[in-house]
Amino acid sequence: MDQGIKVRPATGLKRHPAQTLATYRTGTWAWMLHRVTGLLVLGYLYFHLIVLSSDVWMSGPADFNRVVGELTSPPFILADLALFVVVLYHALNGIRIMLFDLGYGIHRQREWFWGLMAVGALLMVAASAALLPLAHL
Amino acid sequence: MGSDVLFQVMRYDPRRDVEPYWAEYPVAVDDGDTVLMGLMRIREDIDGSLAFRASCRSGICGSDGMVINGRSRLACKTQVAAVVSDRGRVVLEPLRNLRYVKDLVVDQTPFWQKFRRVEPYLMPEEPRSAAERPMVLPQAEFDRLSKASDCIFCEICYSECPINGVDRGFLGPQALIKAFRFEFDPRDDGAAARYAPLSNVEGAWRCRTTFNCTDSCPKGIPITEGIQRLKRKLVGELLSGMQPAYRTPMPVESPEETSS
Repeated sequence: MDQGIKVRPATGLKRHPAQTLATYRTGTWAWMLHRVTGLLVLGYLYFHLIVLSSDVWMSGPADFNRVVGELTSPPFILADLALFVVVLYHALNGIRIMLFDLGYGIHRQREWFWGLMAVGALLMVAASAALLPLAHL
Repeated sequence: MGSDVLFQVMRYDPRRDVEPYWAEYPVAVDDGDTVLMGLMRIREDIDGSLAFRASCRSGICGSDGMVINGRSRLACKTQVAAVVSDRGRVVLEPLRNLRYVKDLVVDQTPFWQKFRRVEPYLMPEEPRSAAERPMVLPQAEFDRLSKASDCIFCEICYSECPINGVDRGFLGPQALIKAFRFEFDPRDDGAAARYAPLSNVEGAWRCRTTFNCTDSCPKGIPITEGIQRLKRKLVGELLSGMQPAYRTPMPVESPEETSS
């Protein structure tokens, strides 16, 4: 045992087999982001329904108009853009997943991912051009 | 000639060690040497207590799957030069998602249990003698199943699959591609027997198409494609009324529970 063997403590090792980020490739990131954006969209849906239908802060048409007015203020316009990123990712990757379920494009899964992301980037540019002027930046 | 490469190997003997540790072995490596050759050199010349599995040394037996620099690969099919880091280092860990037995050896029990669960053999309609009905598979059909038949049970897909990582009950890519191999064999009539383990929350439907299995398979089997075809077949069987909808998960022993 004197042939240059070094022993050092277990940095980064677990006592049980575990997944690490090293297993993440395009398809795995696509899946994980799909899950995360799905949860964000679900959370937004609750937020949306509660804000627009609760009578805690709204008791008539005037109140409703005031709340909607606040929701079109610059900070919320920026939040809308962030929401658009989330929805767009979920929708575009959803198309990719459905294609695989139907048996199309499965040998080109990376190309489909990046192609649809490019489409998403173009749509984001268009959405920004439409929404950013409203934010009075 | 050869240069010294530092093999950083995860060592762990659960009966003796409190937790895993890294051992570093300087190994003289020639051009074209595989990671497995380096490991054998360590065991023969430096430290005979190092445990790893290997047999044929030529990518056929599927024994020496391990995590090499973060990715599950066959040690005999991976050349040191292809993976060595700029700092002259190769990092070796046991396969993921299976319980550690010792050093680079993992407990394969759950993997084989799940493989058997899909009844991976030909179930002809009526068993007849070979003389009565030769079981000929047309060439075109063989070509469609040929890749799936190449599986060498190396457990690399099982180790790379993130679903296997979070769900110990999931059948895993290997059992599913083997099920595909027989479900799509025209001589087979085992759909009814395989429906319960396959069309199940822990079966084909647990696959999330992350493509890790397809990307990492050392035999280049398009595993995800096979699983997707399996899913479409299961939907067809359900919609045509051939099969009932199953919802009960098949109980699978977790790797922790199978410890001796």
